Amino acid sequence: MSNPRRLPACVPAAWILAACILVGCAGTTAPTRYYQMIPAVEMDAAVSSPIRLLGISPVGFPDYLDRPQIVTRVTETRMTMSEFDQWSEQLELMFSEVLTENLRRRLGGEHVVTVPNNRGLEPSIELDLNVLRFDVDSAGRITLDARWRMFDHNGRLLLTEHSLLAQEATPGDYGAIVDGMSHAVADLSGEIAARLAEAVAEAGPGNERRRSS
Amino acid sequence: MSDPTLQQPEPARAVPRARKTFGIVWLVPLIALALALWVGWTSWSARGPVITVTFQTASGIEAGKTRLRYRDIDVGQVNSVTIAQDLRSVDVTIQVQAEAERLISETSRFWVVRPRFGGGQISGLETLVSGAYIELDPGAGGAAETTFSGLETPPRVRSDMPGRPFVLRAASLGGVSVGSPVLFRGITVGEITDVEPPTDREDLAIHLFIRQPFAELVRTTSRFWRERGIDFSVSAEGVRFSIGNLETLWRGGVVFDAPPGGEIAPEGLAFALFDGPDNLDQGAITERIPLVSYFQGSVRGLVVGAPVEVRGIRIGTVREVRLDYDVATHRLRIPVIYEIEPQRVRLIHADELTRSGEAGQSHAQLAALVQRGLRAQLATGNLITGQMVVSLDLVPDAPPAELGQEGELAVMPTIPSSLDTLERSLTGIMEKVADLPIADLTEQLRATAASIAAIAGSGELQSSLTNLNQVLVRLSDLTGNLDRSATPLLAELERTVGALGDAARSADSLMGPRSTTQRDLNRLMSELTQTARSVRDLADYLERHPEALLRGKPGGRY
Repeated sequence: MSNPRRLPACVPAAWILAACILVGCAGTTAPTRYYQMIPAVEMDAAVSSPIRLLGISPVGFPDYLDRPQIVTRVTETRMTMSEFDQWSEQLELMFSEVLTENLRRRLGGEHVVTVPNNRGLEPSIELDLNVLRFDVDSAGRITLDARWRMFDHNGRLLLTEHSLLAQEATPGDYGAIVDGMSHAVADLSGEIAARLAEAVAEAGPGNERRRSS
Repeated sequence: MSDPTLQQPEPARAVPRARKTFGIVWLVPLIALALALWVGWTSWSARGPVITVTFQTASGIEAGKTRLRYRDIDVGQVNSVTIAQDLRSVDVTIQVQAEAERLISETSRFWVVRPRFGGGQISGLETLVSGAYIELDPGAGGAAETTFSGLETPPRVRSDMPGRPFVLRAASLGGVSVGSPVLFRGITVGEITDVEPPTDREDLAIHLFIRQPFAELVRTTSRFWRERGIDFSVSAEGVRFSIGNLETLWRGGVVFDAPPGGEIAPEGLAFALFDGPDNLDQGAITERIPLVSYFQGSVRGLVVGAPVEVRGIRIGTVREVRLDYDVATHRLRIPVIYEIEPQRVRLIHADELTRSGEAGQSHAQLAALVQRGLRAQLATGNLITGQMVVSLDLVPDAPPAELGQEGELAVMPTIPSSLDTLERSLTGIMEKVADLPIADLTEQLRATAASIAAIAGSGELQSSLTNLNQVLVRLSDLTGNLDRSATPLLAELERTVGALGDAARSADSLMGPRSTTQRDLNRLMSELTQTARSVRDLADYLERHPEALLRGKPGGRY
């Protein structure tokens, strides 16, 4: 067998061959279940946001989460991966989208953008978020540990915050676990939104949204 | 008792018997005597002549013991060794056996065989044990002789060896010595046997002997030259270096060739010995015209033996380079004496008189050539060694000159060498530079400057400046006119700039942030990232569960 890490062009062939062997020699494998987080914030119509434009930088994610399997922290230091319960897309991107959507629902859609974007928008507040831990333990307790900072459009640091959020879910029930994780992200967006007014005040009168030339 | 008378016998009287004339016992001494006489007679009759050989020393010779031998057979014995009459040599008296008598003649040679080292060989070693003996070489025969002068060294060639002797004539022995080999195409075919001591100012006579069958190779046209062991020469023709074989390196040698034509050389024919194969053609040269030339300037690099050339072809040799000082006029001159060999020049369209090669004829021809412009010139023969040659050539525009005569020497007119000419031209240029009226030029420059200063100080400059001002005003007006007429041009320029802006926008739509290209590129990058992730995940899983390739994911079967 060729090493697929070295020869990406052989990946489809490898899959096909693997599939043939599986079918021919070992019968069928159980289907994999895929999960996706969803925005768990209700649309707040009566929002009166103090901000002008919030930009969300790419979310920093630990490497142990950079895999399709849903990671379970069995003990404080040992992980297991569920081979048959996987994320439907890259967790980092999913987290970023859900967080952005949550914030949009809280702050109004026109006030939140991702950076960098290809529209040339320059936000007046920029959110830089680093996820340190985002998993479920064997008791069904979901932990989201994140550090985040806000900068103004000149790159000046406005505030630094540490959020440690927890949710409970049924152990082994990945549907419930993913649901709990969605709520953890929603809680995080709530904390961010709560500190936003302070950051805007800190930033002072900034520039309105504009086209970069 | 008996009758005394009767009884008295007559006294006994000895009656002598008749004596026999020859006792048988005498036969013994007689036979002995006869034998002795016979032996003596045979010995005497077998005795050959007694000869006397004179040697420088009697080293190793003992009377009654030393033998005379011919081809290792005893043919005689030394009788006595005495000091000769002149008290400077030794007379050795040898009793030669009768059967060897015919070997002794006036051409016979005698020498003492004793151990000898040297001359490239070792001989007579056997006499270390047996003692010295005298060797006989019978020679070619002739009248009987009893007094001989012995050879101090063994002869190089014995008289009975087949071959032919020849004679070489040379001014000096050079590297050749007695015993040096004679080579023919690298084969040793003979050797130098003798060198006649020079009796007068004539050439040396060097005798050599060529063994059969090689003696037939020597023709009347053969030429002999010295084989040099090491040949190293620097001449105007360049540097040459060669090494011969080891024997000739040590003892020298003589080489001969056998050119076609000619007959087998008779015995004793004399040949000239040349210095080397290069000098062979000199043998054919019999006529040499000595010339002298007085060259201008330095003759550095011109040495005795340097070639005399006509257009690069050697026709002669420099014999002498001198320095003369004329006390009366206090002038130096350098006569260069050289010989030209007219036989090196092939004559075309020559009549019999010219071809005869009489000295006067050559001189007349030379004079005619000088009138037509023949001149001697120093030329560089070798740029590296700086050797010079004397070059003779016809110079069409040479100043007229005649072939002079100075004692026995004809005086060949010269022209300066090309280097001299160059030097002279350079000197001429330098003189012209020195003659330039630099002082006058400076003076004129100074006067010019003063004039300019005077002009600047006068009112004319002022008026000129005023004029210039007016000209500038008019120029300004002209510029204004130009400006007005340029307006349409500027409008055109504006349109062009607009078109350029459109082009830039088009490029922007193609390459800008919202262009399809940009989006496709982004998607491509995303796809590639996804692919890489998939590969990584697969590899990751296979690393953990390699058996999954065969059995599928464990734990999920249903």
